[in-house]
Amino acid sequence: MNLVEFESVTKRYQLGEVEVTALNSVNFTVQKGDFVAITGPSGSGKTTMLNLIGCLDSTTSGEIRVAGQPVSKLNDRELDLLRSRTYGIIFQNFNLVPVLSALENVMLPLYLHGLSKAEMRNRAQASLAAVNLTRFAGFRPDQLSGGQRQRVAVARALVTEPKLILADEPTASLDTASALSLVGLMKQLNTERKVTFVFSTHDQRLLQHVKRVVELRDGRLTDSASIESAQQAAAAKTDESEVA
Amino acid sequence: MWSMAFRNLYRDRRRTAATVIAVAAGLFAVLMFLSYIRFVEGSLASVVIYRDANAHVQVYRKDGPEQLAASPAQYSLNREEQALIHQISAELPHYLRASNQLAGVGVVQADNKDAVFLARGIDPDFERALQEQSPFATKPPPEGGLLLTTQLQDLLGYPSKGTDLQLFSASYANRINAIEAPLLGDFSTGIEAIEDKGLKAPLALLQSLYDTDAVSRVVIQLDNREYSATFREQLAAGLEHQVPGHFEVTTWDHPQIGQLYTSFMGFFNMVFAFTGIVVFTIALTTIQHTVAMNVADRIREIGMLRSLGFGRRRIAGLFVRESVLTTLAAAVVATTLAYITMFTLAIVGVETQLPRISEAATLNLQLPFVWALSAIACATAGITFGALLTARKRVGGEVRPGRRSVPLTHLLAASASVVAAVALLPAQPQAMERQTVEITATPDEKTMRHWLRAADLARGGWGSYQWKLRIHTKDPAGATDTDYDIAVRNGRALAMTTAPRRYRGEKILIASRAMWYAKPGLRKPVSISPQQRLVGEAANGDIASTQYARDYTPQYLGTETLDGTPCYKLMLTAATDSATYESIIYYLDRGTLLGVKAEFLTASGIPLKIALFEYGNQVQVEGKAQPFVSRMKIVNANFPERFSVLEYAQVSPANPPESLFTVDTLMTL
Repeated sequence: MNLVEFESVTKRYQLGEVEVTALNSVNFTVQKGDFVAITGPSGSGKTTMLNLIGCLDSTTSGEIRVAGQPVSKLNDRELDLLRSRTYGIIFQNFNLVPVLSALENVMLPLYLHGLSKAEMRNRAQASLAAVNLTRFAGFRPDQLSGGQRQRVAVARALVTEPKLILADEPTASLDTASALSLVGLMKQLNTERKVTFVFSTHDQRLLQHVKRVVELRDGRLTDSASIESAQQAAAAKTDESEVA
Repeated sequence: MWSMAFRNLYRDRRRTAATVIAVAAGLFAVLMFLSYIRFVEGSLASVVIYRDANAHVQVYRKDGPEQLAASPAQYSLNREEQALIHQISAELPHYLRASNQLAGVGVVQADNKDAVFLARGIDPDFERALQEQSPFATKPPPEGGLLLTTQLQDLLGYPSKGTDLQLFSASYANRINAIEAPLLGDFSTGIEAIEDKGLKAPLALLQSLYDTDAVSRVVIQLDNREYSATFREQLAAGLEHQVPGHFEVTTWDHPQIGQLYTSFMGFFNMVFAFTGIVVFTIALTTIQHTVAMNVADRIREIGMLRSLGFGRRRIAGLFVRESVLTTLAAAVVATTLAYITMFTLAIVGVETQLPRISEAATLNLQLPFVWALSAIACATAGITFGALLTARKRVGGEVRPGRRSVPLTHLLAASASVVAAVALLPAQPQAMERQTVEITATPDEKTMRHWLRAADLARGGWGSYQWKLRIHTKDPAGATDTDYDIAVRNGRALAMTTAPRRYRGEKILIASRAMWYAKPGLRKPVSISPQQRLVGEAANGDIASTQYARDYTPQYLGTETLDGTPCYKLMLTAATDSATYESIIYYLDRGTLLGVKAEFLTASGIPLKIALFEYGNQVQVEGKAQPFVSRMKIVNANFPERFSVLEYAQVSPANPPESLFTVDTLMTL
């Protein structure tokens, strides 16, 4: 069964008096264990697509199914439950709560799982250990580097053991070393724990590690040939930069 | 979540501090105003209970509080009733002491000046015991004398202490009466509206003025005012058991007793409610704006929380928690400041003027901590609810746009418009009763005065006569007969009481538009007015001073037929202060020019009394037989069951000596 399935999904926004079509009759699926990148130029609809997958926004037309369940039929509470049980989300700007420590930030999603405080703490510490941040557990976000913050965000996304992790430009705010480290971590989680990843990115360093690339242009998905070419072009660019 | 909310307060310390200060200022104002109202409430209660000597519980005859002023005799308590009240009340818990009181109205005179008084006859020992607990102590009256307010003394030309003052009024038997008593000092009623009329006298002295052993009420002091209502219920039940439906028991805060208290507390409570609403609105708006700004600042965080599966309610709850913590911090600041301020005021000893209380009072603000907690709990609950609405709307707005909120300025502008509209509403025109009379043929004033003089002649207004007069009076209190010998000489008259025996020797002199009353026991005559009640519904001026042609200005109103008799209808308006009535509608028989009917009106045109005349007597004047009044029935226009009948007998021309009509010889007759 497809984990996520888009069927002729269209999303339009009203910007003042202008109607903008962010996605236009998109058909798309995500399988369990996928490591999918959504790429495309700015304004092509990447973030919209991620928001729709994450049930943070609703379609104008078409249907989205998550684990076979039509999302449009769910009420607010069921959507909240779906998000807390199914997804882990990583943001470009980390979106950590500044007044909480790294450990507390990671514990945050567990508040919705009815666990004891000790159990939440144990699971959060294990999650931080998975991203090699055990000794930074008591640090607040402003005491951590960009890479470390993004690792905390990954740990927070992992802590509920979600079926799918969505990441919006996860390496955009990171230096190369941090970005490569994060990519490695994500790849490792995908390989070892079979965690499904869907992420939007421009980052060529990331594209060469993905199993599948989906390219958006003007709200439409391009054909698979061009996806392959994009993947090859990305690999070539990375080689050139490494030579340089 | 509470920990996270608490830490969030430190994110924007300046905003949090500004919010805390704004809310604390509002709560401080509410707490201070609450303590002030409590101070005013306590002070006004003390005034009503102790200074005005109403004590805690009062017992009247049924409907007494409303009817005593109009019908004192009918609604007063006799000796048996007084004894019963004292006996039952003394057996009840929290009873301290009880006393009889008599209220009355009349005229006080010193030398040639007089003024209206409102008197209270009290037991000096009881009042002294009450005053000891009053923050506005006044002087209890010494036995046998009078206390007058300084304003009343001013109206009397500041008579020196020890001067005998003359008090006169209608007795409970509806007869004019007067007494003399020395002025012993001054006191203050503490109520500006009656400060120029206040008179205090020992109960027995005032009872002698009203010629009664009855009292207006029995008042009972308790050991604590908190038990007033309970005591009232128990006493009322006890009295009801003994004499069903006969008594009325009130407490000090009854609208008729504690009028000052109830009216001002009503006003203050309204002001407090208004202030509370304004302050609460400002505090609530401040919190709501803070919540709105916090939400706007944390859109990303809200998005993140929603992506983690946090529902809108849970996220809104975080902002509500922050509001609650902010409000509680403000409450701590406000409460601390309020108690420091109250403590400081107590040390400094600031004096303040309470509404309608002439003496200054020391401002003593106290607020039980439970009151402060209750006020804060109410404010916190309200603010929390408001914050919840805002947070849910704003947090929801990040997912789907909410309705546009109405800015506070719009609300204030709308409120101001409503207030202005109400204020600018044209006042309803006062309903005015106008008598519209179609005048067909208007006689001149000279003619009308000629008619009046002819009517006066038949009522003894002109010439010299003597007759015997009996006034039969009937009202709900009973019926009485009083006999007079009347002598008239050219507009002056002397009335001497001949029966009942106890009133024999009383005299009324009408001379040169002035009236005097004398009786055995008075050292000198008392100047009285024609309007003063003589007995029953008859005024002094009714007995022998009918000179309408001299005292009134006539106006022709047309003709009317009364019981088959065609009459001229005249409106008479008083042309002199000594006239008995302000205005009269007078019906004259067109054939005989005799007065048939008179409607006596107040200055505002309201009917006061109606008089009907009969002319069964005849007198010889210059050899001619002339009709003379034989019966005059005066009926109270508002209470027809109250009336007086004046019967004229043995009317004859006479030639009484001039000396009979001088005030100097009045005491020697």
